[in-house]
Amino acid sequence: MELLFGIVLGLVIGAVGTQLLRPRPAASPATPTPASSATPTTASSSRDQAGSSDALQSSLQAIDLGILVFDSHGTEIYRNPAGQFASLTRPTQAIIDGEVRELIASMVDAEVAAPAEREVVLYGPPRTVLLIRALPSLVDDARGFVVVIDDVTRERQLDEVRRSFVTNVSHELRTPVGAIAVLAETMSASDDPATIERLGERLTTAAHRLGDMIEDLLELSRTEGDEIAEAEAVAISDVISDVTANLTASAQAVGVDLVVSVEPVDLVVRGDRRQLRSAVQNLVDNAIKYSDAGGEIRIVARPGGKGVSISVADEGIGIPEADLDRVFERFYRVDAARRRETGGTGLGLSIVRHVALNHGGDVSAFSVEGEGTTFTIELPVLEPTHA
Amino acid sequence: MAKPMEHRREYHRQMDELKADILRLGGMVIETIPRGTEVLLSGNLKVAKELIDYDDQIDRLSVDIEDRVYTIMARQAPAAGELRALVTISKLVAELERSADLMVNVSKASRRMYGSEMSPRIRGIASSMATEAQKLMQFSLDAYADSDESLAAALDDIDDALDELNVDMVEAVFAAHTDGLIDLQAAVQLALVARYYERIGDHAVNIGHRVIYMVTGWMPEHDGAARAKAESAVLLDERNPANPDATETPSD
Repeated sequence: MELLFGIVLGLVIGAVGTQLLRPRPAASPATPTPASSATPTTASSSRDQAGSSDALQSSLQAIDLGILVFDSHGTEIYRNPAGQFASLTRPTQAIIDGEVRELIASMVDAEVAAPAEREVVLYGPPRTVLLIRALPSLVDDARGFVVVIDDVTRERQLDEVRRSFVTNVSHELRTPVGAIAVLAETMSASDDPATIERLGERLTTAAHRLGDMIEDLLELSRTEGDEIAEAEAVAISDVISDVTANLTASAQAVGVDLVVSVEPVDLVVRGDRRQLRSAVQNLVDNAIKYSDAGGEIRIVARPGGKGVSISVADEGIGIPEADLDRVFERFYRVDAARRRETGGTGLGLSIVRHVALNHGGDVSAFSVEGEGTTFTIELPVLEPTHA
Repeated sequence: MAKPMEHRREYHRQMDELKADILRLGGMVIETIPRGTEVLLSGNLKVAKELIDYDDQIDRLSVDIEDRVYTIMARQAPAAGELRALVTISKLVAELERSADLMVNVSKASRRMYGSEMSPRIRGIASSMATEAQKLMQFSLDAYADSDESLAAALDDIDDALDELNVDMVEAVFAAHTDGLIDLQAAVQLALVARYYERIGDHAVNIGHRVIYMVTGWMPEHDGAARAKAESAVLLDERNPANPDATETPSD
């Protein structure tokens, strides 16, 4: 047992200590660590080594990277708690173990083992992306391997969001700009007043669409700041009244009823009135766009959650479960098959999330396809609770 | 020549690896369910291609597991519980591999009706069927990993929800076709998709039966087999001329 611990300790000092417990390593082979092969000669150095060993053990227990150590035959001799992936199902754990085994087997068979890595995408749910890196390690004459498993789900998601933002914003801006150019050229070449009038109407629509897009981008940019520009006591009933006054005509045009309930009526939060109005307006506007005639949209504000909850529930087409986590991303559209010509910019829900976060709150979505969707903004009551 | 103790140790190591790999295979099959469903609901053809490649990996692992099962059977001549464990692994491979094929079928059906718009109700039912199928497969593998015959026996009842969703789906598809929302091709493909999910549930139930067999040496099919055997014994007895109660079979 002591021998085993010695091997683990040596490998861990040699590979983990030099490779992992420092800023993210470049993928390069671990090198033997002279310190690990030093022979303790005094009581004080023995105590130091015991202390280092305890510290290393504690670090390995606490670190959120999965760390596994294998001997020269590819037999696992150490695994830290994060490497158990206890929150995943056993078949999923078995997939990870299988990938690790294959990686180690290829290194055991190789005459000169080079570092190797592979990315494993698990659809879950939840969707998870793991980066598995295997490094050869040497302690004295013993050859071994250290495997590091890193959950890179968040990083990959952010990469995708960044990539798609640039693509989407250029596409969304190019479409109305292209339309404006073509319409203007055609207008200037036409002598027919009826044609000019028709093209003029379409030109106006395209210009408005472009204006909406730029306005939403600016709004998103404003709300992405961490601070609330003008914090004041805001009556929730006023916010909702403003929104319904703006959107009642749109709702009536598509045959949808807006039903409002604010209980108690003097519910107040401290925040930015303009931002809060923008968030609620985006939610109600969205609900109208995805509702069918005869439907009802319920806007309910009440004490709940962290302080005050404002929910907007529709009876529309709903959102697939797989998309629920992503609808707050900029330009994220639920799949093409169910997309409607809603005229939205794809930024509304992103604005809502930023407003909620700016106020120390959060927003969530619950949906059943074919039955409807409920978005809930939860805001903390800063002070006072009531006006 | 290896010593008997080392021989046994090697045998147990091989068995442990087989069990780990059957769980890995199961995990991969469970993974095909959300992948195929994404193809169905989002029309993502890139995922469809990935799923076909993934199924090839599943096939490779299936073949590898079966080969190792046969090798162990031939070399170790296991008996009783150990033999049942090996036979069970062999049977599970077939159930799992077929389930992955069904999700590839879902993906292929999605490609055939690419561009057809599904109503929110149909999408909702398909999503629920995927969740139920994934849950059933997960339970069946839990039952295997824990040798839990109670959970294995419960799978039959748990599968009822998926059967009901299948009926709901077919009704919704017929209604959508009648209302002119989807064409005949899409309607047929969607009905088949529902059937594929429902069949995955059946495979999970079969895995449960095999787990019961592994643990107890008995499975529900044995009752039916015993009844059939008893009935044929009665028939033979009735036709036996030595039996005074035997009745002659009418010649015409």
